[in-house]
Amino acid sequence: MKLSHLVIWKMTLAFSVVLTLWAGLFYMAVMEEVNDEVDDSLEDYSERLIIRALSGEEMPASNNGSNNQYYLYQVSPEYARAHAPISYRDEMVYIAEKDETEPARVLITIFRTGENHYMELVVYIPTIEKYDLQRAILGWIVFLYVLLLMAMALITAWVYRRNMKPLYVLLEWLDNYKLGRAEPLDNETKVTEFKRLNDAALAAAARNEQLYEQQKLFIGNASHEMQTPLAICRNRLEMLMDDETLSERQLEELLKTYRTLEGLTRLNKSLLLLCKIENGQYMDVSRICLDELIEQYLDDYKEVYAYRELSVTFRVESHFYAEINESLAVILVTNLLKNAFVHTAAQGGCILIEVSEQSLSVANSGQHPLDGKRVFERFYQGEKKEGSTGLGLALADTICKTSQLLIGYRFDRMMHRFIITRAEQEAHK
Amino acid sequence: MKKVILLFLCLLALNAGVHADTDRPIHLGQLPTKAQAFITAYFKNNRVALAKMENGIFYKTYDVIFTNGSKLEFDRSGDWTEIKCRTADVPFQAMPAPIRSYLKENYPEARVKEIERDAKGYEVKLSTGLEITFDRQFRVTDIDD
Repeated sequence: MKLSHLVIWKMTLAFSVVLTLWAGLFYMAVMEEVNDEVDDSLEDYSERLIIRALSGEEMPASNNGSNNQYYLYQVSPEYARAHAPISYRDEMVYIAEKDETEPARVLITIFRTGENHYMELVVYIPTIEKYDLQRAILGWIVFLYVLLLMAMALITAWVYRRNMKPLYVLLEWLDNYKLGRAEPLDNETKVTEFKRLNDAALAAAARNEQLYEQQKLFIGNASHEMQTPLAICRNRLEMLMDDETLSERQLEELLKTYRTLEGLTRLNKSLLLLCKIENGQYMDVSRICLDELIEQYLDDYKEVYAYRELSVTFRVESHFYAEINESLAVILVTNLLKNAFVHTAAQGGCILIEVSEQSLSVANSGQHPLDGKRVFERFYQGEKKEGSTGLGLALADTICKTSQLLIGYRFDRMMHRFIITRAEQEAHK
Repeated sequence: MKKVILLFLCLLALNAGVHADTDRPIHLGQLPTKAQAFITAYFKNNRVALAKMENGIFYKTYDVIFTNGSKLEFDRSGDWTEIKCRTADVPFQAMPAPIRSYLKENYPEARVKEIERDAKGYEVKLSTGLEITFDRQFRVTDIDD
């Protein structure tokens, strides 16, 4: 759930509770006031009539053209004692003027005259108008309630968007952050919390960057320093093997050690190469046709690995060009080729190389898919193979990254497929 | 949710309590003492036709109607706010002294039919239909006929 949705939802919920309470109370208060006004005008009407009657002035007609009506008549003292002097009622009343029965508010007042008689005055006010008014008020309150609630939700959303912007800028920056390629964080804000977040993110990035640099330097130095001792070891072994006095068995052991040492040298070279590429030591690029390069090297590999009896298909639809350093291009192509030749099952395995204008794919038959996420990691190997350093694909990946190329892995139709495309094409998709 | 409902019920109950601001009949004995003294002093011979009390949240008024059609209105503390006489006249002594002297001086013949008092001052209505308005310091501010 997104934070903005959560905040807006919770705020709207709280507002709706408060607003509902408010609207309910307001409606009740207004209704009360409307009823009061009706009663007040009844009281006023009644009082005027009583004073008029008591003063002996002429009484107005029982219904004076308005909807108000009254009846005034004498009652017995017993009746007067038995009934409350003032009482209110809601009744259906026949309005003579309209010839209709309508709901009305009734006020009955019993008062005493100077002659010690009791009179009862009944006053009616129709409440049709009152109900109309109440319905109109209810309608307006509901309408305004909905309007207010919507306005509040919108305002909450707007305020949230406005004030949380730096958070989303920072998140975007973190998403795009890549080790060794830090972009400056442009996130101006006055809010202390966001400033602290920005500073923390930048500090963490800087620390990572530093560690990464140190690590790179260490690997680079280590492999560089190991080159000479490794070469010396190999020379000494070669000299030792020239010795005529060695027995067949001893020579065999020495040969095995020599091969292991050769593997180690290759590994060291690859590591050193990786470091050099990552340090940007192969910056001079030129437009190179990768399929021609493959053609150059393919025959050599076919020859070297002829004993494995693989069927190789090379299909070129059109040339695949890349802006790449020449020596890196060679390493890339040979690594992919070697990978295919080494990791295909001997006798019956097949290799398929397809080139189109958009992509270059090197595929070899296999039984089980590899872990697509880890296949380009250093020293990731499905199964250990003789004469393989575990750095070939990592090297290919690094070369592609520095040369605006993308390398991907797919497993379909029992084939491991390594596909190279141009990076900007990928971005356009 | 239960709390909200409870709150609603409380407010409803409160509202129902407020509803009692219609007129209620009373005896003269239920008037504030000041009002009773006023009636004894100036309306001794009149008989009460109807006495009632109006009770709101912010106000409380008393109305007394006599059988000759005169009407008195008192506020919460028992001071009169309105005297209206149809058949009789407003008792001269019931009015504040400065108004009495003003009337004696300017309208010696006049009979007072109505006098009203509110926060702004006094309003006197004469039998001639003349209406005189006084402010709180008994200065005449308006004469209207």
